[in-house]
Amino acid sequence: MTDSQLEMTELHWLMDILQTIDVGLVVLDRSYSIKLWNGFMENHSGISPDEVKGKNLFSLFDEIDEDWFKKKAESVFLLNTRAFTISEQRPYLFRFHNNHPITGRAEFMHQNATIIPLNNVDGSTEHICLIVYDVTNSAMSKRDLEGIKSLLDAR
Amino acid sequence: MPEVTALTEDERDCYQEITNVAMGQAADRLARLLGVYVVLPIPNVNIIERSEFKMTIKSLEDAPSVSAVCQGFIGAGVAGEALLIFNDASFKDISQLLKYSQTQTQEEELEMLMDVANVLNGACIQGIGKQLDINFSQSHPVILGRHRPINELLDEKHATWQRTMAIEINYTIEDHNINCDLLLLFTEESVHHMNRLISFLLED
Repeated sequence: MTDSQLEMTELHWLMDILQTIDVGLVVLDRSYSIKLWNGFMENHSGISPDEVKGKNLFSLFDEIDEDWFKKKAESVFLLNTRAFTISEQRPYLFRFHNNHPITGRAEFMHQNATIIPLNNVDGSTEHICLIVYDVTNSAMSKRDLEGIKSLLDAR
Repeated sequence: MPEVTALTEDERDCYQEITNVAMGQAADRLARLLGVYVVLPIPNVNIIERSEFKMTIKSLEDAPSVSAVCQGFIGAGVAGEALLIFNDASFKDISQLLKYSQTQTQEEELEMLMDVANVLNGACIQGIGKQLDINFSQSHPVILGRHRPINELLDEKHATWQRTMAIEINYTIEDHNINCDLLLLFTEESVHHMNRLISFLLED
């Protein structure tokens, strides 16, 4: 393989990986329009990339508190730093079904999220990437543990 | 959404056929991994109410102690779980086949369980997805329980579902004492969607 062929192949690999990875990826622009929507987001939301591209995040998903989310995201645009939210703050960003619909006990998928800045060549930040992790299992075990702890404390 | 309480004869046949193809592929991979002949039964397709669920899985496996791994999958409006129930008595034989040491530690047993679960769950989920033209997302496998009576594996009191479509597949291996059950469980919503998908297959 020539170098350029290899580069193309690598790009294809990366695309496949981003589509398959068990993590949600969403790219948003300055007006919170969706620019990229990976396989995880498509499969769990049931909405295809074609349907979401260019649409406003908050108009599609009214479960996301616009003011709350913007406060976090604006700092990413402005300061060029990452922002994090954990499921203890808000159990979920997107209301998705639990990944274990039959054996699981959670009603919905608990999520952690990271917002990272995506820089232009000149260093300015016009886009951000929202990374969504499924943390249902650890959230449920934590809840169980707290339950047992409080039982023990009560004795 | 209307409730799905039963499948028509045609629908059941169609799901059986789809599963046959998928589990054939899974069995082929297991056979290659272990170098043995895997016996394939006819898959059992049923709509199960939550209240009947425990009884159904209990009827699958009468071993006093089992280990189970489940893995969720979702894509294009179809969601469910693949649940592998492994008879604990099978561990000795499978460790021979996988060439693990005879004196097993807990870790090695878990390795084997996950190896078999990966092969069977993965091949079945992908096989079904391919036929329905769905590219499923798969979550990490979760251990439901190890060395437990089968009725302790699930906590149906906290379950959020009413009924599920269950496809049961019992894998056995010729000349070996190896026995495991793969249950593919689909949510009720998915069954609506899948019935529509297979109606195209049934037309011609």
